[in-house]
Amino acid sequence: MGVKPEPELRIVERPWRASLAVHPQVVEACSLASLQIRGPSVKRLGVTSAIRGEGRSAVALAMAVVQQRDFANHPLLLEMDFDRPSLSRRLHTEASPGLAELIRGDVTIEEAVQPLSEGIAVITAGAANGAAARLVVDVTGSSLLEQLSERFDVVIADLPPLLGCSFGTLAAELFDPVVLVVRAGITPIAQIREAIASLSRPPVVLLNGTQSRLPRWIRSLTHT
Amino acid sequence: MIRYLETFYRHRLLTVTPLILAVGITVGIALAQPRMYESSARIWFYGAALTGTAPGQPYTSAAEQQSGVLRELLNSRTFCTKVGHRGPLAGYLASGSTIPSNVVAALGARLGLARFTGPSGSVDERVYDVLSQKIEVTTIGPQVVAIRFAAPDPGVAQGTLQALVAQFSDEILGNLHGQAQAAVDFFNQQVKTQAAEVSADNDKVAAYVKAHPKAGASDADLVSLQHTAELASQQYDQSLLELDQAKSDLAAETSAAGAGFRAIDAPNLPDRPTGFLGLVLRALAAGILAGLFISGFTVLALTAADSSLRRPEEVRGALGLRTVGSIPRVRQRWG
Repeated sequence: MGVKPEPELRIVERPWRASLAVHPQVVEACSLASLQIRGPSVKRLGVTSAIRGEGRSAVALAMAVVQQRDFANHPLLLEMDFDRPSLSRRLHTEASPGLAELIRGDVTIEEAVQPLSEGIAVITAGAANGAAARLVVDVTGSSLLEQLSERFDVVIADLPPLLGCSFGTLAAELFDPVVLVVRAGITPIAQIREAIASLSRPPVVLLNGTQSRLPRWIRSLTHT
Repeated sequence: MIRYLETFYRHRLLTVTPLILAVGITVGIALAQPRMYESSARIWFYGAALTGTAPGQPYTSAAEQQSGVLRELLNSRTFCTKVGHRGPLAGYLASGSTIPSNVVAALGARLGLARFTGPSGSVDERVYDVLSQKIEVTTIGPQVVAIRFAAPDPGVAQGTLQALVAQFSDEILGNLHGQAQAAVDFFNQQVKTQAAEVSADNDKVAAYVKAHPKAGASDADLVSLQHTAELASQQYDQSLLELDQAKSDLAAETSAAGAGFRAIDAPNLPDRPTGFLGLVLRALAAGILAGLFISGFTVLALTAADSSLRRPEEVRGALGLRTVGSIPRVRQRWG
C-alpha cells in the first residue's frame, strides 16, 4: 500500500473549495431551508429523492457549505450512493478509499476522510464492488455513524434515490431529518408518493427548480 | 394559458420538432417534384359553331359555349386518343415516361415506386387519363378561351396543345361540313324537280298553242298555262340561287376559317419550368399548418399528462408534507 500522506498534507494537495462546486443560489436556498430543519443543532441530515437527477448531491453539498459558513460547524459530507457516486468528480477528490472501504475495515476513518479547504470533510462512496446493499446493511448494524457523529458536528448524507435503488429506503432510515428533493415540473406526483410511503418517518420537501421557464417578457405580461 | 406556455418552454425541443419535421417533409416533397413545363394558347371564337344558346340561359358568350364543348370533348376517349396520337403525347407515354397526375404520384415516380413508374393500362387509356385531368380550359373573355397543358417535356406540352387545337378544329369542321353537304344535296334535288316542272309546263303551253293556233292574249286557258309555267320558272331560278349558296357554304366550311375560331396565341414552347416557386410556398404553408397542429396537440397532451409539482404551495395539498424551501432553476448540471 505504501506510505499514506498525512491529512494536513492532503488539505494542501486538494485546496478545492466546496462552495465552488455548487451554485450560490442553491446555497442560499439551503441556508433558508436549514433554519427550518434544526439549524446548527442537526446531527444527521439525509438528502434523498424519489428518482435520480433531482439534485440530491448538489443539495447535500450546499447543506454542508451552509453548516460551515452560517453556523461555523465542522460538517462531514458522506456519500452513500454507491451505484452512481459523483462527489469525487464534483469535488476533485479521490474516489477511494471511501465509505465502502471504511465499512469493510480496509481503512480507518482518518484514512477515509478527505478534508476540503473550507473545513468541510468528505467521505466518498468508494468501491462497493457490487455489494452496495450489503454495505448499507452493515452500516445499520455498526456504530460507524455514531463514531462519525462524535468526530464531526454534523453528518450530511448524500443518499441514493428511494425508488429504483434496493437500499435507498434502508439508507434513508439511518438519518433524521431526511430532506426529499423534488424536481419541480419533472417528478410525477405518483412517484413522489410512492417514495414517501416507503419511509417510516415523513421527510421534509425541498422543491428544486421552481423558477418559471417562461421568458421574462411573458412573465411581465402575466403579472400586469 | 400560462400552464401551456410553461409546458412549451419546458419541452421546447419536443414541441418544436414536429413543426420542423412537417415543414421539412412538405418542402422536401415539393422539391422532389419533377419540373413541369406549361404551354398555353388563346383561342378567339368569332361565331357559334357547334351549339346554340343553352335552354334557360338568357345569354351565353361564344367563349363560354365553346369552352364547354371543348371540356365535353376532353371527357371523351375517342377525342383524347386522337389528340394523343396526333401530337407527341402517345409516343411519349409509350416510351415509358409518365406525367404525374398529382403530388403523391409525382413523389412515387421520383422515388422509383413501381406503382407510379410502370405503365398502367394501355397507352390510349393513359392518354385519356392525362388529357382529361391535365388540360385546363378557362374562359377569359366573351370570345377568348385559354388552354393550358403542362408536361415534364416542353416539346410534349407544346405539341400536345397544338394537336388539341387542330383536332378541335377538325371536329367542328367535320360537323359543319356534314350540315353543308346535306343542304347542297337537298337543293340539288329541289333544282332537278323544279327543272322537270318547268319543262312540263312549257310543253303544256306549246301543246295548247299548237292545238289552238288562233288563241291569243284573250284566251283565258292559254294565259293560265303561261302563268303556271312562269311561276315554275321563277321557283327554279330561286332553287338555283339557293343551291349556289349551299355550295358556297360547303366550300367555305372546308377551309380552316370555317371552324369559327382562330388561335390568337398559338401554343408556345415553354423555356422554363412553371409553378415551382408557388408549389414550394404552398408546401411551406401546409407544413407550417400541419406542424403547428401537431405541436399544439403535443403541448396539450403534455400539459394534460403533467402531474408534477411546480410551486411550493402545491406540496402540502398534494403530499401533506412540509416544504422547507425552494431552489430556483439554475444553469448547472446537478448530481
